[in-house]
Amino acid sequence: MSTLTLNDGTEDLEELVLLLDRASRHIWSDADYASTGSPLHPLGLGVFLAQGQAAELLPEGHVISGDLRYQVVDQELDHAEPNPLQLLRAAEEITRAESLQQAELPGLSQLVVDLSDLIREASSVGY
Amino acid sequence: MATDLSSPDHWSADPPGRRHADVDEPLFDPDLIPNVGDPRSVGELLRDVDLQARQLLLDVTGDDAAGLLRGWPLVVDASAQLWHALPGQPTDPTRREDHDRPMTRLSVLSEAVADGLRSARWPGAGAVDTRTDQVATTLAQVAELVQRYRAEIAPEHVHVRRDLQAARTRLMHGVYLGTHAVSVALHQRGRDLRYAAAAAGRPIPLSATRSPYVVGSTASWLQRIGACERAAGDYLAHRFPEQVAGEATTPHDDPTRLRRALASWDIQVHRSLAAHPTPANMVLASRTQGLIGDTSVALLHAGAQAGAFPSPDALDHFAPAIEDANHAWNELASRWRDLCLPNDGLDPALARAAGEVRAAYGEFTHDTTTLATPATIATRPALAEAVQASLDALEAAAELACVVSDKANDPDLTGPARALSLRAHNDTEAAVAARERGDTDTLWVRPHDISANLTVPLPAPVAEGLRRASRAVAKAAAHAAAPRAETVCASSQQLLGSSHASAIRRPVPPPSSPHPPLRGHDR
Repeated sequence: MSTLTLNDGTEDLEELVLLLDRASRHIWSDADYASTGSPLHPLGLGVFLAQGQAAELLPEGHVISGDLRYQVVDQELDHAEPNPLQLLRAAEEITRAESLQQAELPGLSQLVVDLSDLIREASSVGY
Repeated sequence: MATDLSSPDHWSADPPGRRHADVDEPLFDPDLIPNVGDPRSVGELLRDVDLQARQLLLDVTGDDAAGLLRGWPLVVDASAQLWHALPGQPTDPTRREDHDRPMTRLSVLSEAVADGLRSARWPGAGAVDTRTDQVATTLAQVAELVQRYRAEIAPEHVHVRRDLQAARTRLMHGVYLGTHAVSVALHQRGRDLRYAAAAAGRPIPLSATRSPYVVGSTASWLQRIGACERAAGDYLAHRFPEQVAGEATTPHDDPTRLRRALASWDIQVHRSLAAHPTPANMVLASRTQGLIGDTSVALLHAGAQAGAFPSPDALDHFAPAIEDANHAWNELASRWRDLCLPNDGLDPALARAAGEVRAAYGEFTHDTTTLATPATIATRPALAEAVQASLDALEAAAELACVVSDKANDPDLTGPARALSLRAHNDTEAAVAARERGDTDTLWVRPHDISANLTVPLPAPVAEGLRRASRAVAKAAAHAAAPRAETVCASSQQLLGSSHASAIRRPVPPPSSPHPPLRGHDR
């Protein structure tokens, strides 16, 4: 867990985690209807692992508020219907935030690399 | 007038014939004022490096490998220049050495790469990728800027020291991203070459010590760049060289990678579920098992395409059982996911093990970044070993399913109200439709809890559904493990004797194989 305190990147991280949460749910939902050997299975696992990495960057014991979850996951994005690729791109964009760059989070660079790899992978499966 | 004052020759004492522009002097001495015309700060320039490296990482292909490799030492050289220009190093020589060690190591590795580039047949002389060139130029620009104003920086102030540390982190971050891009390009080039050779009917001989997908021209470069990527990654993860000197790392070019990954997974998943049976870890465990089964079927189909099975009936006999088990694992994962909060962390060791399984299977199942066809997978080197390792893992999965099932009996399980409410009503409706239940009017979660999405105990239908899904996994996993052995092993032996035999490496005994080696297999 990181030593971040509130308002120094935590909100960005929360949104990042929620976007990845939504992306992995979306991909696995698609994968459950896909044929055997679908590339969606490993992609979903990869995104879930990235979500776990992002969650590790949050302050220890931090819980994302229900309101934000509702805002990001249940409401705002429902109207736009973004696909997992868009969600991953949005997540990668968040990692560019100045607040996160200044926080010097161990593991952020690894997450950036993994998100870039996942974006390439998601592009190739037709999202 | 005797003289024409409009003539430029009268503006200076220079000899006639020289134009105004020839004698114009710059307002600033570029040696003293670097980056004239570029008002960006050190932080902004480093941010630009980050963006350039990200863009590179998103657009990289195998065709870029040569140019990126040629340009990579330039990036490290410029980075080292900046690193050493930044003030604030310890004055004590020993401490300073420790402080600089990450960059020193990168510089040494980079010099070795540069030396190698001068003598190696590939990539040979040629153009540097413009993107790495741009990154190196920007870093050099930052170094000049810092050097110029170095005397005005006061590292004795805490906020300045933090700023300097941030600059070093950003610098290393850019190097890390750029190095990963080179690594991706090299790996991709290796695959491209192997596919091209196979398509042309002249398979590339396998190395005795490296991954099946590493070709000769990229092998040593991948190893070197991989070492650099790890060095930069260690710094960023706060794993300093002195702390990781004795750490055993799994080389990514290990030919037994899949078997080792599956063996490590089997050990780690038991450890993690015993120590941290959180819903998020249960999801990861279940989904990874689903992936193992799913990919195993893909490999089996590929093996059948290669003529490995005595009859299509053999595949038809056990593939459905594995697919049923996959479905059961995925259904169970979906139910555990209902109990997760988005910010639930994963056990890092379990996440690493799962990531390695995913990556190791990707070596077989992915073609560039898309899923390969069975025909392509059938040409993969070491396919027989992969099939065997997967089948061993499926057998081990039957026991793991029992472990996982036990976790569903925990009476203290909780989850977010909305997801649990939704699941409870769906399960209730399904039970009513199946005439297993009479009513649909029970309010399983209080409206207030749903509104605030509080964490609540599992409603009865959800708890029962989780236990039912767990039992289904145990049953399906046992069923999927049953038909392995004779048919498959005999078939794998055929695969070893097939036309692809020349492409299959002699397998290395697994670290802890639960089964005897393939019958008649030349080990």
